[in-house]
Formats: sequence, C-alpha cells, structure tokens
Amino acid sequence: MAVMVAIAIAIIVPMLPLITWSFSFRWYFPDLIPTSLSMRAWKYVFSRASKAPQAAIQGVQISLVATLLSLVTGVPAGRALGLHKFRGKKLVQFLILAPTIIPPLSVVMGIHVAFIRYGLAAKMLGVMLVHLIPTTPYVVMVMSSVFANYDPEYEEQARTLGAGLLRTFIHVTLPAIFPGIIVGGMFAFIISWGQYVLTLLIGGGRVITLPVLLFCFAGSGDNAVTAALCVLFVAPAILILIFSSKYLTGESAALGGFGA
Amino acid sequence: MTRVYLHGLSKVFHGQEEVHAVKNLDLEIASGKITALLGPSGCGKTTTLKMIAGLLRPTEGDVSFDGQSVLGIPAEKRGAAMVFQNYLLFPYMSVGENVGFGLRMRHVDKKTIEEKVSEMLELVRLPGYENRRPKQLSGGQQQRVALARALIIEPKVLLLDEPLSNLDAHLRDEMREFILGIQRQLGITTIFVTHDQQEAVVLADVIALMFDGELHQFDLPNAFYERPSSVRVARFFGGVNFLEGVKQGEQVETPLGILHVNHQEIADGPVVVTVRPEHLRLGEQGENAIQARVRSHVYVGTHTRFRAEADERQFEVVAEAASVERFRDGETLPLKFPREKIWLVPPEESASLPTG
Repeated sequence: MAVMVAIAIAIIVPMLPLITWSFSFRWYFPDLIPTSLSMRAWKYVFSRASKAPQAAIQGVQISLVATLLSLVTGVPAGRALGLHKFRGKKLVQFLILAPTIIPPLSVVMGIHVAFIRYGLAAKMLGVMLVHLIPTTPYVVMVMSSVFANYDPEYEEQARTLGAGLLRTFIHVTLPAIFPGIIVGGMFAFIISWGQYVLTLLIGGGRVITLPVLLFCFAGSGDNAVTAALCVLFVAPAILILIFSSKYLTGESAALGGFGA
Repeated sequence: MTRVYLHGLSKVFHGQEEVHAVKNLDLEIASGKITALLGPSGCGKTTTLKMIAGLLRPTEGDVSFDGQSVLGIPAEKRGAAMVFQNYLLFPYMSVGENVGFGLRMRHVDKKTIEEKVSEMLELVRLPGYENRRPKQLSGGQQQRVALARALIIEPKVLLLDEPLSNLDAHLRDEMREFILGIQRQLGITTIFVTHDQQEAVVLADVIALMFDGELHQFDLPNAFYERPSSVRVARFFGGVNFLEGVKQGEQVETPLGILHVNHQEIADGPVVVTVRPEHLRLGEQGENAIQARVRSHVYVGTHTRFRAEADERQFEVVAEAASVERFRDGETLPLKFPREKIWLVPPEESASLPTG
C-alpha cells in the first residue's frame, strides 16, 4: 500500500502543471495559476473531431497485440537463455538486446521496404509487428532472469504424477513465472504504447496512435489540448504501474537483467 | 507389483563434450522390493532413475515393466511416480491440492479426490493437513506430503531420489522406518538412488552399486561388506585393509607371509586380500597371525579403533571397547587374519595399492 502511494506521488506530482494546463482557458505570465478555467480542451479531446478516441482505441489494440506477440516469442527465448548453456549464447543475448542500444530508425527504413512488398506497410498488423523490435528485448530480459531462478524439476515432478506437456505448462510453469509475465508484459505494453517513430514510419500516417496525434498538436500551439492529450496518453501507463506495483516489489520481482 | 528390467541401458549427453552417463546397464529389479542405486555423485544413478521415469530417453537399451517395453510411453502415462530430493511441493498449492494433483490430472471427480487425499494424509500421518501451505511444514513433513502425492496415483513403481539425505540425523531413522513401513504395507516396487552407502544398507533389500556409469555389483546389502567384487567396491563400503598377494589353491603368498584361506571362486594368480577392520583380531595367536606394531588408537565408547603396522603396511582394527586397556601404542603384537573372514578380490588394474 505504501509503495502504491509512493508511486502515485512520484508520478502524479510532476504532472500537476500538465493537468492544470489541460483545464486552463487563459494562463499568462506571470500568473501562478490560470486566470480562468474551462473544460474546452477535454471536451475537444473526447470528441470525434480530435480523432483522439479512435487513436486511443487503436493504440490499445496495437499495444495489446504487440505485448501478446512479444510474450509468445520472449517467454521461450527467456527460458532458453535463463536455463540453458549453449554455444553462441552471448551472441544471442547481444542480438536480442541490440534494439535497446541501436536506434530502431537505423533499421526501420529497410524493414519498411520489406513491409511494402508484403503489404504490411500502413496497416495495423505492420505496426504491431514493428513494435516487437523495441518490446521483445525487455520481455526476454525479464523472463530470462525469472527462469534463472526457476527449477525445471518442478515440471519433471508434474510429468511423473501424470500431467502431460500442456497441463504441466498450465498448472506448474505458468503459475511460477506469472509475476515475470506480468512485469514483462507491462514493459512491452508501455513501450509499444509510447512508440512514435516506428508507428509513424510503418503506419505511414494512416495508423494513428496517441503519440502520433500528440506530435501534431504539440506543433499547433494549442497548449491546453496538447496537455489534455498528454494526460490521456500517460494515464494507461500510470494505471498499469499502480495495478502491477505488487509484482514489482518483494520477492516476486526478478528483474536482474540476464541471469547467468 | 511390477518387475522392472533395464536391458543394455546407455545414456550419452551431447553437450560441449560427450558424457557417457550410463553405460550398458543390465538390471533386473524384483517386484515389491526396495532396490537402491548406489554410487558417488556423477555415477549415472539419477540419470538411470530418470530414464525409468520416462524423463530422459535412453541413447540405447530398453526399460521394461513386467516384460513390456515402456520406452514408447511418456512419463505422464508410465506410472512411475518420482519423489525428488528437495520434495518439490508446488508452493502455490495447499497440501491437499498438492497431494490431489495426480488425480486431478487424471480427471477424477472432486469428491473422490477429497476422500483419497484425506486417506493418503492419514497414511503419511498428517491427517487434517489439507489446508496448510507447504511452507508451513517441516522438512520431514514436506517429504511425507511428497510421498503421499506420489502414492495417491497408485504408481507401478515408486522412485525416490536421495530420500534421507536432506533430513536431520534424528529424523533419518524415523523416516527410514516410515518409508519401510509404507512400502511393506503397499508392496510397491521401489527404486531409490543415494550416494550414501549407509542409507542404501538400512533401506534397501538389494543394492546396485555404480561407478562411472557402470554397474559394479548387484547384491544383497551384507554382500558388499562380506563379498565385495573389487577393491573399489570394498573401499566404498568402508574397507581399508588390503594386502596384495598371489593365490595358489587355498593359500595366498603375501609380503607378510603365507595366509591360509577357504576355497574361493577367484582364479589362482595375483589377488588382493581384504579383511574388514572388525574381523581382524589383535593380540591373537594361531593360523594367519602376523606380527604388527600398534601405532595409535581411538576409543569411541562402543569399540576401540587401532591402527597397526606390519612391514610398512597399515591395518585398521576395530576391537571391543575394553581392549583400550589391554594394548599400548608401540607394542608389537600378533595380528590374526581369521581364515573364514578373508575375502579375495582381483588386483586393481592400476596396481597402485595404498600401503597406509
């Protein structure tokens, strides 16, 4: 509980100016608070004209699918890296981590050409797939440290008691790695949710998410609407963080990077 | 009641280097008995156990239950329940859910599971523990829950991995009695692995001793003391007295003189004489007595251990406790090798017998 309160304070206090902006009608220097307040910006943001509701819904869809896909690939990869020793392991680790160091922009041009050929450019699916570049490394990192502390003999135990491979995964493996899946999935969702460059380039301006919209308004000079969009943009991340804070604390958090 | 046969069983691990964990193992495990797979760590005993369970696929050879090969049957259908060394109770399940796990996997209805679970917990003397968490239990209790969880599925074979090694000394005796009691009651074919010869001797009906993936002796527990098959086997069971010699009929010519022995199967030629420390007789004259000097002694209450030396060779003698007052360090005394207690084994190939 104390942790949740601390997280809330640490995150919401720096956002107070933003929230104030979003409700302001007139706010000129040197006033400390706006001289008059209004709901204009919020009404506009929630109207169809702003395209913000559609962008938010599309963003949630993209981020959910990207999260799911990065879990589907990242959990087995994390298991291999966390549990096994094999030739070329260091290279595999480096390649998986590379997107966190190398700017995705350097490869996305080439990917764009390929995506055009396969008909994925300017499509939701294309954007979902390209989001895997920044999200997967985090899922793999979290899951490999989870699996480094995991005893696969629990699975053997379940097998000799009569559980097949699928039921062993559901009843034994999944409960054991669940905190890791929550943490890794949360990372993946937030990273995907915040993608601007990749969405813009692969989406080609047709796939609109909140960050894309935000940049449009930030250039327009309407501070109140931009602030309201910002708050809308940050809200899911904060909600996720607060709801999953219990998985980030105590003994269930296994976030030590690549476990040996 | 299931007989287990291992036939030409081999396992090779292909890692960064090839490891031959088990080599051409032939073993016939009697139904309804407790068999120990004994050996130092890394001898392939746990690998063998996992091949019986179906958790590892043999590189070569066959595993059969009652004459039927089980290699094609996956672990979950094989009916060989395993209890691991650290019990591996599922931490997010209650004790009851843990014990009922196997039945749940078999789609048994809830009510029957509940009845069977309480029956099983009664059997392992933990009645009413259904709602406890594994963490709240002591090591011994956790092991009994793990045993109940394995027994509830009425396995054909019960496999135990180091069943006593994780327990405190005072719990070991209790657990031994407990496992023996349940095994006798249910008559289930039981195979366990251990690195501790004491554990094997007190729990097993038959012991299979393995070194480096190979079976060295498969025998009744007392045979390992009285009739070891080699110097290495004898040494693993606490044998310390070895004397090389050349056998001819019922005589062995040794550097310490001629020893008379009873008829033994081993061929004439170079042999090693073994006698257990508790069978050597210090201060006794007669046949097979040599002169030895007492080097040191340790009084342990129930008996006294002497170290005696003859011609630079050291022998250990376990004598009755009171003999601590009879013999003095430095004294030269006769040391008798009783004819019927001498056992001959083939000489070690490396031919490097320790003299001390």
